[in-house]
Amino acid sequence: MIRSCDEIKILMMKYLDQEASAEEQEALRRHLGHCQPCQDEFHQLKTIKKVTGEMKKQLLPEMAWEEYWRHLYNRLERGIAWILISLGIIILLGYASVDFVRDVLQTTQLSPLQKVGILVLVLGMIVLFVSVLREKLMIRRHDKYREVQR
Amino acid sequence: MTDTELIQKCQQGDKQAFEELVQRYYQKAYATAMFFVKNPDAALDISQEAFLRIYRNLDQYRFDHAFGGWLYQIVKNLCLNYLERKRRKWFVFSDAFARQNGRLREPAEPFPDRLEQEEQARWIWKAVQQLPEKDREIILLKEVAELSYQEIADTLHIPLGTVMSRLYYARKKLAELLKGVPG
Repeated sequence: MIRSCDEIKILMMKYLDQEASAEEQEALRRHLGHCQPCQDEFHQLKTIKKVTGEMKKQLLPEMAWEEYWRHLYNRLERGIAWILISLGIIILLGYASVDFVRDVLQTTQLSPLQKVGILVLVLGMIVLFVSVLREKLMIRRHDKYREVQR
Repeated sequence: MTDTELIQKCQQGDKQAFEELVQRYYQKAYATAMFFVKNPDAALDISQEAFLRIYRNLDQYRFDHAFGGWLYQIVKNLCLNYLERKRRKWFVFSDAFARQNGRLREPAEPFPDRLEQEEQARWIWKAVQQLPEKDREIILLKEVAELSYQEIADTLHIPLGTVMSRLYYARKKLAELLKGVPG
């Protein structure tokens, strides 16, 4: 099968990236055997493939695997720990707030105005907490690079 | 063991399988991040953050796609976030600087030290950076992330033929830019 120079360009890519079948490799060899412009182009592309293939090595530091994994594992464990700590704090704070409000309402040592003041203060703190939480969640939801799914 | 088998084990909570998966890909993740952010510390941090996100989202992995492509997307997104944050910070600083001095200055872009030492590597690095974004990305996916044509096609949602033609034109442009590079 005779292939055009345009088709050969695609075969050149497949050959250089080791994706060409035996038949395609043979077709490329046959074409290059009698087409000087394609032969020149092939050698040029081969050089480019070689130099860009070495680019990755230049990007890598002297990085020890053990050190990399140790860092990553620590981050992984600490991430889980932070989630647990946060959950624990939220549960305890919620429980303490309910308890506190009940105590304030039941006590006879405070005037009604003081009770209202304390309750408004607690309410304000809860609203503030929910507002900050909501903002964080909204930012997370609208961050266009947030997720990572296909 | 294949990537798919490893990921299945990871999904069952096997930390050793996750370690093996990271070991298989950490250099590619780092090199990809380095390509975008050009800062060794940031690249290290981003590559590790990518693996953390993968670990937390393992249940969302689609087995009909290559793991390398998924990892590439995560690293790229984290890099874009990092660069955007950096740009905003620079904007705030440069704005104040410009008000003080009456002009703006471009931030210096440091080359990694290792590249400084090798003339040829620097040439290639600079040339690839000068390519249009689409060409740069296809070179990155092939040469740094080391994905196959099919994996690149899946990652970029383009036909297989487009992958090959895009690679061809990207390499031709690179050849033009690299004229005179020691071969």
